[in-house]
Formats: sequence, structure tokens, C-alpha cells
Amino acid sequence: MDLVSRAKTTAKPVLFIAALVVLWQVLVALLQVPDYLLPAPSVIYGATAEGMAFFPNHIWVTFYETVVGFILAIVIGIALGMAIVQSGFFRDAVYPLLVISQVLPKVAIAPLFVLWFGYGLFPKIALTFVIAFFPVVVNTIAGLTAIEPEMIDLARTYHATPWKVFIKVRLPNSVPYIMTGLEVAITLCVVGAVVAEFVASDVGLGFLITLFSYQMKTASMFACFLWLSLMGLALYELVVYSKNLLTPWYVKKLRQTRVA
Amino acid sequence: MSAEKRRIAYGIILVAVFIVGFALGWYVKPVPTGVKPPDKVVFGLSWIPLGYHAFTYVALDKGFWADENIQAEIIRGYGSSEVLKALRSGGIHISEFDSSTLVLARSQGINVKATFMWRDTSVFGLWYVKEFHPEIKGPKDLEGLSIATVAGGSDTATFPAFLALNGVDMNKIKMVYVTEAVKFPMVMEKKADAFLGYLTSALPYKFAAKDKGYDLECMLWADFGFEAYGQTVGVSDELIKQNPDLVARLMRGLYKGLYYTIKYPDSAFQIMLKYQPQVNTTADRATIDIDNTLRTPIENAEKYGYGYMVQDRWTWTRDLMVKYMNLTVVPEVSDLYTNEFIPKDFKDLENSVATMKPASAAAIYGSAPRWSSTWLTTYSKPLEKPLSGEAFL
Repeated sequence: MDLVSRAKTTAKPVLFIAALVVLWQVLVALLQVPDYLLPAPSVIYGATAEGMAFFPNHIWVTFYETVVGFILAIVIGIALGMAIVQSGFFRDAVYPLLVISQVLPKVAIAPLFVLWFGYGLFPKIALTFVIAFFPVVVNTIAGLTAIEPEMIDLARTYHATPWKVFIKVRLPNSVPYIMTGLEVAITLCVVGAVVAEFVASDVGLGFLITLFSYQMKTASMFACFLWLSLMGLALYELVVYSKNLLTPWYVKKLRQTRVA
Repeated sequence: MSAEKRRIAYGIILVAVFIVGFALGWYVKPVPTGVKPPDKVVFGLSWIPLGYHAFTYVALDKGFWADENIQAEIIRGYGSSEVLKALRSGGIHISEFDSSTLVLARSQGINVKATFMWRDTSVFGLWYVKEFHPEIKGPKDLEGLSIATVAGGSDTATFPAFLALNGVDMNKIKMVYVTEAVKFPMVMEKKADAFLGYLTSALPYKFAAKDKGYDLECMLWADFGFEAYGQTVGVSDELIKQNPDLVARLMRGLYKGLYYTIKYPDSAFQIMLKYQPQVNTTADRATIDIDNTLRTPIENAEKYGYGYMVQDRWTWTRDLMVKYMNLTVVPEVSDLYTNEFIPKDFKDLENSVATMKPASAAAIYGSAPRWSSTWLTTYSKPLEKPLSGEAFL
């Protein structure tokens, strides 16, 4: 994509968001909405600027929990996905338990993690992992099994062992699916880190949101949302960039077949 | 469509209209001409319905509000901060909330006023297991300990004040910030030495600890020089300005509900169970009697009525919050409260309640109440100065 096209693509969301922000500022002023209900963007900016003395440390902690939880979700999620495809035991006995783990409300589990694992970073990373690993597992399974039977037949005609079929056919085919799962997982990781901080933390953006909520500092809460949004967006774009690097053929196919 | 079929269709429509009209007429009662329809009011509790909210359900059930031409609905809340915002935005008309949080709210431009101090003494407390820490006799013994609490709550914010009042070095205390559900288990699992919690709403933990064979004690801050006001009922400045008559009538109904709860706590609890059957626990029943010792000091109650507030106590509460919450906007004490809606004829209201003769405790509960008779005997006393936390244990 050339520079002009890239600039046009980037400008669209930026201009749209800018228009929304202006509309928000005007509406809040016109309707005289109090700050504690919905602060104007200018007030949020003021709260963000004021908070620069302490925000960086809290942002770093939430970022760390998110990334470590994400890495665990990738490693364990992919391994579990592979095990479920390759093993009847994992498919029949373990997979239903994974589904159950996703149905349980995480805000109810989070306090238990604190009691079981203590007060430090580990329960937060554990909760981040629990929230995020399932899309990785599901997409790994989908990728490893979404193979055209002719490809498997072709590999067998060349006397490929099951292991070779797995390494040379199934695994490369699953990469685009896994990357799509990671796109979902990274956003869930941010949510998981914040939920864990709501429950037990004295540092992190989730802790600040709790504190500002009690103190009725809605503008400061929005400042936290802004930092969370930026963090989530940056991490998501990093995953998308990785996907483009690792699966250029798949990305090209997507661009050719997309509607708009 | 043929004429025949059209006639059948019209007939079916007519019958349907008749049925709907009949049903509407059955359920919708016309208001007699000349009678003002009742004011519909939403009363917001600060948290989930608990035993000590009985006085609001009494006002509802006994028709004390209906007598004032008010049709009230009681809903749960999500913390004093949230109900204060809801009051200001008009989502609810009247609420009960923590007095310290009101100071914070007013400094943020949330113009709500306290109109009835239903719990005069602050119930901020510090809970610890006696068996784990037999050395704790007072605040000074807290140095070196870890305290679990919820980040940002009023008790958390003013804990340094409590410590400063008692010469305790805050730097020698480790604060552990957790969610409400985790505080008690952390102490029982010895992951924290103590936790901050209200004397009333944290009381169920005491009974849970007792079941495990432990004594969970409460150090009530009010016993150690903490003079902030407790829980109050309040309305927005806007409602006072637009409809002071409604506010006055709300307070009259509430006054009778509170006095009934003071005089007949067993009956009040039984009334509450009609609406909130899940609060049928020893702890919930206990909180009513505990609160009955924390009401307006008797000398003021007899002279001015229950709910009466004094400037000195509000000044203390305000200054505490300004200092420990670093408030840049300092609300005027006169903006925080008003006694104008405490019924002037409170004696008449009390006498009308006194003529009610609800069933005795034995008649209400039969021979086997859920709580011990020793406890009932201990706490069935006339109002006096607040008892120490230790007396409840």
C-alpha cells in the first residue's frame, strides 16, 4: 500500500473520532451535563494531564499483567488445542471442562484467586490467562481441523507419517486461525487484568478506577479508560501486524475477498 | 374478503376490545374526583436490603407514607457514592447514605442535603480475630499489622484520621486493598491481620467466625474519639426547593417508621421479612438493636426529635473529609444538613406509634427464635450512650 493510501486509511478513524469528541464537547456544554455524570473531553484531558505524576506506574503494572497473561494464554492455549485435536482423552474429557470454565463469571472467581494465590501479581496474571486462553484454544482446534481432506490424502501418498502431516500440513494451515484467536485474546487480556485489579490490588488502572469511582472523580475514571483504550488498541495492532508478517498469503486473500 | 368473513372478523375484534377494556377497568382504579393522586417516590437504599433498613419497610408496610399521600418504592443501591449521584440526577427521590460521603459529594457539586440522621454514631470499625491477636486492646496495638480494606471507601479514606487521633503511626501499618468479599476470608486465612468494616454490615462475619470457633472482635472507631456522623437520610437541594411539602411528608412517614423500629424491633424485623425474606439471619436481627443504641442522643431526641443534627458534629465530619480526602472545594456546613423537616409534632407522631400494640417477641417468633435468648436479653434495653464494640461481642 503506498503512502497516500495508507494516510487515507489512517485518517478515516482519526477524523471520525475527532468529530465524535467535538460533538461530545458541544453536547455536554449545551445540555449542561454535570461532570460527575459525563465529563466533557476538555475536563478529561485536564484530569489526564494532572494524573501524569502517577499514571505511568499504574499503566505499566496493568500492561505487564496483560502481556504476561497473554503469553501464557498463547503457550498453554495452543498446546491445549493441539492436545485436544490429537488425543481422544483431551477431546472427550478435558474440552468440556474448558467450556465450563468460560461460563463461570470471572468476577466471582477473582476473589477466590486472591485467597488461593495471595495478593501479589500472580492471581491477576492467572485471571488474565483464564479469561483469554479459550479463544486461542478454540481457534487452534479450528485451524488444525479445517484442512481439505485432499491435502491429507496427498501427504499420505508421499508416505508422510502422522507427525509429518501435523507439522507440514495441519500446523501451517492453523496459523491464520490461531492469529485470529490472538486478536480476540489480547483484548480479553486487558479486561482480565483490570477485573483482577478491581478485586485485589493497590496498583494498576483497575485499582485507580475503583478509587476514582468512590471519590466521584468521573473525569479521572475516564482518563483511566483512555489509557486502557490506548493500551488495548496498541496491543491489538501489534497482534494484527504479527498476523500480517506470519500469514501474508492469508491476509492477501482476506483483502481480495472483503466487501468494503 | 367476503362480506361474511368481514363480519366475523369485526366480531372477533369487538370481543377482543371488550376483553381488553374489561381487564383494564379491573386493574386500573379510577381516582375519585377531587382527590390528589399520591406522590410516587423512590427510596434508594445505600446497599442491599439489610436488617437495619427495617425502619423504611415499616414506613411502607404500616402505611405511614400512604397516610401522607405518598406511594413509595424501596430499591437497593450500590454504595453511598452511587446513590448520591442518583439523588442529584433525579433517579431516586430520597435515600440513606453515609455522612462522610455526603461531604465528598457536595465538594463535587452533587447538591444533596441531610434531612434526618437515622444513625447518629459512625459505625466505622476495625475487625480482628481475638485468638490470632490477643494483644490488641486499642488502636496503638495496630502498629505492625496489615489491614485489608476496599480502596476509596469513606472508612478507608478516614482511617488515617482515626489513627492520628489515637497517636498511631500510619507508616507502621500495611494497607491491603481488596474487594469487599475477600476481606473476611483474608483475615481468617491469616493473609491479613484485620479488616475495616462497618459494625452493622460486617456483623454476619462475626457469626460466621463463631461457627468456626473464633471470636471476631470489632474496634468501633466512635469509642476512640472518632466523632463523624453516621448514616443519614437526605434529598437533593432541588427537591427541597421545588417540593418542600413532599420532603416534609416523607420525613413524617419515615419518622414514624423509625420510632416504631425503636419501640418494637421484633415486629419491625418481622415486617422487613415480608419484603426481604433473605435477611432472616441472626446478624440482620442484631443490627436493629445495635442501631437502636446508635440513634440520636436521648437528650436531643426528647427535645427536638430523632434525626436531629448539630453543627459541631457536621463541622467535625466536614473538616475530617476535607483534610483526609484533600478536597479542594470545601462545602459550607450549612449546606450539608437541615433540621427543618424533622416533624415539629414529633411527640404526637411518637404517641400514635406508641398506641400500636404489635405482637410480643414470643408471639411473633414462637418458642424457638433463630437467635439466642441471651443475646435478646442483653440487647433489649432502653436507649443509652453507644456501647463499646466489645459489649456486642
